[in-house]
Amino acid sequence: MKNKLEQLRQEALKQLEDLKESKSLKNQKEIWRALEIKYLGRKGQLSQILRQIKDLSTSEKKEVGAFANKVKTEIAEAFSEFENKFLSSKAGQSQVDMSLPGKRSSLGHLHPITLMQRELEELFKSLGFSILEGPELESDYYNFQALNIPEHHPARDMQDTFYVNWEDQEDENKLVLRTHTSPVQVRAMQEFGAPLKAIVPGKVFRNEALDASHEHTFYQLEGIMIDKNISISNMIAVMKELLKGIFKEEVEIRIRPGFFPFVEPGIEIDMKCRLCQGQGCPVCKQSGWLEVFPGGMIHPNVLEAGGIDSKKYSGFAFGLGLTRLAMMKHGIADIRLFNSGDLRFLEQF
Amino acid sequence: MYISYNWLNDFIKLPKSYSPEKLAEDLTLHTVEVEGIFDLSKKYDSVLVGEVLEVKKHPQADKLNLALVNIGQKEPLKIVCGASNLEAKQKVAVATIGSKLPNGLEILEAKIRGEISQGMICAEDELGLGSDHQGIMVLDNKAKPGMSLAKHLSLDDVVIEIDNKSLSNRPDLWGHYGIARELGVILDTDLLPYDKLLNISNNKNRQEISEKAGDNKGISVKIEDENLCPYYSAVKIKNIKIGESPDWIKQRLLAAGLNPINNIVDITNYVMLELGQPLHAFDASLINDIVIKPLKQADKFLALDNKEYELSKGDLVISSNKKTLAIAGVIGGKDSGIKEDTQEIILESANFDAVYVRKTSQRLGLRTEASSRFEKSLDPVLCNLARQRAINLILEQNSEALVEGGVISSGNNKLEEINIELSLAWLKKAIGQEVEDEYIKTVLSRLGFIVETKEDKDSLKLQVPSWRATKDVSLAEDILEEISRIYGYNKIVKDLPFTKISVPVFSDNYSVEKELKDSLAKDAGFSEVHSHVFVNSRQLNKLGISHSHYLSVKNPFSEHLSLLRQSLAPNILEAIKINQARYAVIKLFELGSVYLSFSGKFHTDNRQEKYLPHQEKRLILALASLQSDFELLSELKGSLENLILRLFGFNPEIIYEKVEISSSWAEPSLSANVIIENKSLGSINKLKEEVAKNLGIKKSVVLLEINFSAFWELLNLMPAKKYKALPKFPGLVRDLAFVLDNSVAYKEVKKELENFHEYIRSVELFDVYQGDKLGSDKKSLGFHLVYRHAERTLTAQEVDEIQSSLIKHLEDLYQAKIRNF
Repeated sequence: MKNKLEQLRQEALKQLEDLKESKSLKNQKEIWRALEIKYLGRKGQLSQILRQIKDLSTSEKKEVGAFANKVKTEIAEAFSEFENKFLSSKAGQSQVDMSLPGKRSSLGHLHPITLMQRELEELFKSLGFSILEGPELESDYYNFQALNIPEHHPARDMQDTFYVNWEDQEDENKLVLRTHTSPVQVRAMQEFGAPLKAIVPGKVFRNEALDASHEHTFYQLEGIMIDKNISISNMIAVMKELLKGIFKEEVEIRIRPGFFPFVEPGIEIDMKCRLCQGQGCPVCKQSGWLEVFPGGMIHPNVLEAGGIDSKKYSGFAFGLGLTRLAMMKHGIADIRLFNSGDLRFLEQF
Repeated sequence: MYISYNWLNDFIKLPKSYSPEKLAEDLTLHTVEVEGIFDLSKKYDSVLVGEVLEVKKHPQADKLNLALVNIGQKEPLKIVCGASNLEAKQKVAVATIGSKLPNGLEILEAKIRGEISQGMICAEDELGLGSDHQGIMVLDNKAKPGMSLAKHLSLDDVVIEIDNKSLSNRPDLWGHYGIARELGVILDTDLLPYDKLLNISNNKNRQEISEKAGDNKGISVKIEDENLCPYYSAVKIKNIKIGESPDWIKQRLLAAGLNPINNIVDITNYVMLELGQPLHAFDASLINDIVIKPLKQADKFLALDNKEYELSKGDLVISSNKKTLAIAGVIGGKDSGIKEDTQEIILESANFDAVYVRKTSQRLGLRTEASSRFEKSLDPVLCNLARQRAINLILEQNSEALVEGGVISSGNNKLEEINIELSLAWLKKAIGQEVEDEYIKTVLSRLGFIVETKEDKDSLKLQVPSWRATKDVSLAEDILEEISRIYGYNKIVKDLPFTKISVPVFSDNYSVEKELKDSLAKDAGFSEVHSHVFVNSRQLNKLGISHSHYLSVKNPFSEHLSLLRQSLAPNILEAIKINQARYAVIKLFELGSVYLSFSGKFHTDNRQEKYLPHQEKRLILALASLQSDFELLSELKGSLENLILRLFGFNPEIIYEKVEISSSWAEPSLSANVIIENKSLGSINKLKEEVAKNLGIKKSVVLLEINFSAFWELLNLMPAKKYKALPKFPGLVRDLAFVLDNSVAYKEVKKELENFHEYIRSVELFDVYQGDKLGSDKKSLGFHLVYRHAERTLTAQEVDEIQSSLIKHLEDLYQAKIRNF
């Protein structure tokens, strides 16, 4: 049997040697493959011989077995060497260009507002705030009146409003596209009562013409915290802590009075302009400060509208412009891009 | 609003070291937002007083002169000038080389018709000091050559611009006196009492003026509706000579942003800018009985601004002899206005209802200095102060002027007293830090509150000053604001609150939304778009959608925003169009609300009787490319199925059911409802080619729109997963592929296979083929079938037998032909 194996070895190596002389590459490949099957295939000659080993005596088995393995390895190596040398495209040049990039699957992109919103939601979740939603198409009652903004109050000028036709035209039931996320304050108080810690991210609308810095549709994030004994000092501390969370560092701020009918007192937190370091530039209207964070102690009328006893509880509310934060974060100068659907913009996030 | 720094000094003593910048900062941090500071002395940077030494004719031009002008330097300037009123020895305003005029003109050295000109001699309008362009401005002869024009004109003032929005709750701050009062509180400095100002006038023409109700000597005042006009007063002044105002009045008006008009109108404006109370002066010749009344019928009215306004029935007007003189609180009439030859005037000082003034001015689209003050709810007590101040000023400047018959008034200019009981302990707790009692009392007194300490020493009784009592201050919380803003928010020590911990609530879909967006973007390669919630009729027409049942915007500023969307499809198609030229394959998704015209789940108000329109969140997936319908649809369905697998954790059976009536824009044969657990979630559709063409879309588009709420409700209904015992016996897998008529639906075949024999435990499609080899009306479906028995191992023979009878069954049922691999 050893002879048979030896014969097979020589025959196979000889045939491979002969094949080297062959001129046609295509032909060479086919013949090489046929030879490989003939000698090394599952039903090939080597296998046939190996199958007979089981009929030998134990001592013979050991000896022939070892030899057979050696022959098999030798033939297999010869075949593989031949393949590498002669059959792979061109000998010597077969290496891969390692500087090439890999093959990527095409990923989609999340909207920059979604990303900004998630970042803030994570921050507020970690502080134990609930995350709530409310209707975008609101009643005049929740958007204004429950927030201490009666009809014909001059504060309505601060927010140009889209009114929507609906069968019912009674004053309180007049429909508006919400001008802020604040109506959800009252809805949340009615649903959950006090104490309450919640944020409301969402779309809001202002009836004004589009240009690079004005959109009629943008995103806000509203926050409220109501409990016993909440003070102005608490409000300022929480808002400052949040700014640190948002900007990932201590930010220089100033706090000044601000007027919003649904809070008393109302404040505005300005942040030192990061573009000009407070020196004054077009973005901060030469003031060195950017208005980023309005808030205030919730007006007792609003607490009462939400069914919360204003003698027992107090709280604060604040708002963040999600769209503005995204613009600041990514240096986006044209607000219209957010709703443009332009993939060249969206693919950057 | 513009505030003059100098004017403030009439009422409080600002420290010399107190810069306008510091003042602006203090106002911003304690009272109202300052938007800008303008130094008027820098307005005419290099404009100097010049003395004309000599005027010669320009040798090359008839209409031009050559002037030699001394500007206090060694060499006089040579200036070419075209003005006809130029004469030697005049004092003039010279814009020197490099100066920039308020109208934007920059002065450069030039050669005019061969003659050098080293500056420009200015006319009034070029300097923004008036409208006169008849000739150059000739200055007072006392002017000193070389002095800056600003200094000569005493324009050494600084103007502070205040953001009007931050004043909307403060009627008392619409004049210099109110701002001075705030500064007095901030700086802890005394404020000149206003009635003292009325008395310090060194006017020789002082007259005792009485006030009477009703009528007197030819004029009478009658208010028809005291809700709309609580108080009205008029006073007649004779022997008036209309002319220009003195410079100091003009300068202050200009600093505050108003143009001087004449010596009467200027005084009414001056007092308004000082005190915040608008006044009006009529020419008295047409007026005797003054009636303040709502109009009985619509009328046209020619106003002082030379525009005609359409008045409606019910508008409040000032009238005399049935003729409308003014729209109350908004604007006066042209006919009754002060003219050059006016000799007798009637001065109005009145209080009008804020809501009414606001409504009228909004409807007329007419915002005036008067209306923007009245709409803030003015203090009626101001009427007397303002009237007296104006009379004083008029008499001071018209030595012949005579008040005839005193003041005629009607209505009530007293306010109901507002008292607030303030607990100091509560106040300190609400601020969150200790503030001294004395400090609190001082601040409140300086703000004008009458402070009375109660016996227990812990509480104060506060009487709100009339100028804060109209709407602004009525609660203890309002006092909290007064103290904390004056104290300074930046000085309050920050203190994070203690709260009891509780498990936060998340809106139902919060986590689903996150997972869904991640899956669509990161697994399926769709990009998220945000589009507007508005659609318009033209856009819907192109899609064949009728908009009769759409909710519409009552006051859109553009026709594009006139309707609220009921589907996400129209706007995502716009997004496809925007991107089509740059991308071969476009994959977009949006999660957003639609607004339907039937009642939804949210109440409109506290009465909880009525509901807002139904609003639901939808998810839309859009796929556009030039691939075949089959490829597009199977990719889109695959994306949905993967999404469901990811969210549900398993694949529930998804049925694509042919729709009876498809959307107007969808290809009927390529439309299907998506059904899971007998619930229709939405539909998948191919955009009709002709509609795509109408829209200008050059790719094939398939859309999948589902109701997101229904989707997560379904997800919530899914029972918690139950463990199933692992099969004890192996299953046998057989592949089966056969050719069918196209009309036979996959889901029918699948059902046949599944129900054929109890040993068939799963049926899975692994291949779909359509092609020429089969014929155009045929398709081939390939399935993996798993046969298994729960209690024993099936033999190959058993399975083969079932499989053969299954094949026979399909052949009989569908004329199916088995394919061999």
